[in-house]
Amino acid sequence: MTMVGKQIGANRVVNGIKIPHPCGDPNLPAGPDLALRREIVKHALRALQTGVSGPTVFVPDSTRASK
Amino acid sequence: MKLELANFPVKNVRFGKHTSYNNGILEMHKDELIALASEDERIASVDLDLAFPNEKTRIVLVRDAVEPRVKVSGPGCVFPGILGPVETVGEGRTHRLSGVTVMPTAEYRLTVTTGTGAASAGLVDMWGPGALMTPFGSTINIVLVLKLIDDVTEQGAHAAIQLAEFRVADRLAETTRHLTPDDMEVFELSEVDSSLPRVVYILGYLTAWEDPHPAVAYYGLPILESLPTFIHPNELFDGALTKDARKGWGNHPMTWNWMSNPVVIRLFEEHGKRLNFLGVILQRTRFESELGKQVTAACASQIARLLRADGAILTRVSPSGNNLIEVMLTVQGCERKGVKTVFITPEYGGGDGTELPLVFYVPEATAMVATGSLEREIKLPAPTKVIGGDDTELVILQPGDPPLSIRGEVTLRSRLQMTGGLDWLGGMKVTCKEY
Repeated sequence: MTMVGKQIGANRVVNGIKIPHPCGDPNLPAGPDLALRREIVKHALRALQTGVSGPTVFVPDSTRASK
Repeated sequence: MKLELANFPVKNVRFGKHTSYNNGILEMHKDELIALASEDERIASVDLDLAFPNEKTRIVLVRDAVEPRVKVSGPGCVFPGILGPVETVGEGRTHRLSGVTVMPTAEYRLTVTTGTGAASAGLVDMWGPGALMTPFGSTINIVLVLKLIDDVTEQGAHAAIQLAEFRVADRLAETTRHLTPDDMEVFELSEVDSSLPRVVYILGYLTAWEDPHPAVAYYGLPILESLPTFIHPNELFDGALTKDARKGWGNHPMTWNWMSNPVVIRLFEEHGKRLNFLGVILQRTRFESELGKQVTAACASQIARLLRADGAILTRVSPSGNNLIEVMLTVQGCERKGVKTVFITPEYGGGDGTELPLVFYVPEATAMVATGSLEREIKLPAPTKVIGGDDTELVILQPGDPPLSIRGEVTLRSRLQMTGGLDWLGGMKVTCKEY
């Protein structure tokens, strides 16, 4: 829910998968799920190292097509 | 589509030798109705009791409430898909017993005990402050006290409670089949002056696909995920929308509320006078992804535009912040497409009313109606009679909540614990004062 994150004024918001499981996808087999989780966390770490001037949304590629 | 809703007001209810309706007196043959409700093998025992307004009676473990109605002419039946075949309803004549509900309470061993899927019951007080906070404090309630068998599944519990409730309600309304009504309302989306503003009602309803019952069913079909659906408002009067019969707390409207939706009734009253009522868009909410929320909002607002609506009224159910998001996005979508909106909802605000009223909003939401607060504590005095919950002192309404001492004074953590305690659809007489 990046729009809620932005609205409450969080500086860096990372797009996840779904409300019940933001940092992974239980529909995926274990291997691809682990890769997805690593990608989201790495993206969050990169976001922390990026300067921002207000609420900014970061979107890991693998979360773009999430259902 | 024209529906005549014939009104048979109930002024008193009593047990007697026959089940009949005569000049406002509803007489019930107790054994006949208990036998009818006991037909389901998932039901272990049934009792029947009466709760009247102004008596110091508390009803606990309430699962639902329904107004007795029966179809006397026209296609289908009341509760199509549940009590009869699926046929599009909302035409012909339906008889209603007004001022009275059939209200099931049920005890059973829960197999789902945590999360949103757990069954959660409500409380109704027939007098004092509690009676003013729910529509069921001023109706005569015919309470079905049910106990279910030990190994009932959650889906089985829902079906058993609902069938017992609907069968009894149907039997009671059946008493009016050959009688002449006191008065009759006619509901029809007739052609009206084309200069009147065109108004659509977007009825948001939350469903959770992973729960034993997702909360709302259309023609008996539990809705898991769905994009918006356009329906005739008359379908609602005949029970096209029903609910999870395990859940009687204030989180959701009861079947009674779905059949007497105050927004629909008011829009019909103004149809041809101040506005042109176009119909109802049912919008399933609580999508789990941002994408899902955006798509349903785009879709509902697009239907409103294709109907050439000038305005839309929106309601939602459930305090979930999750489902608020798609309603707000729908407000935004409508406004951007040239459809003006009014959104009706209760608000949060915390125990003393100073916290955030809504967890999400859009700048386009400039006309909203608040129907009360979700989070105030409520103190209720001690009753002289308790229905439901056997002879126990303590009752757990919702798994995870501390037990309530139902025979004494009781403090509810919020109106959510009261059946019909939250005004999702805007029919109650709540007001507020600034001081």
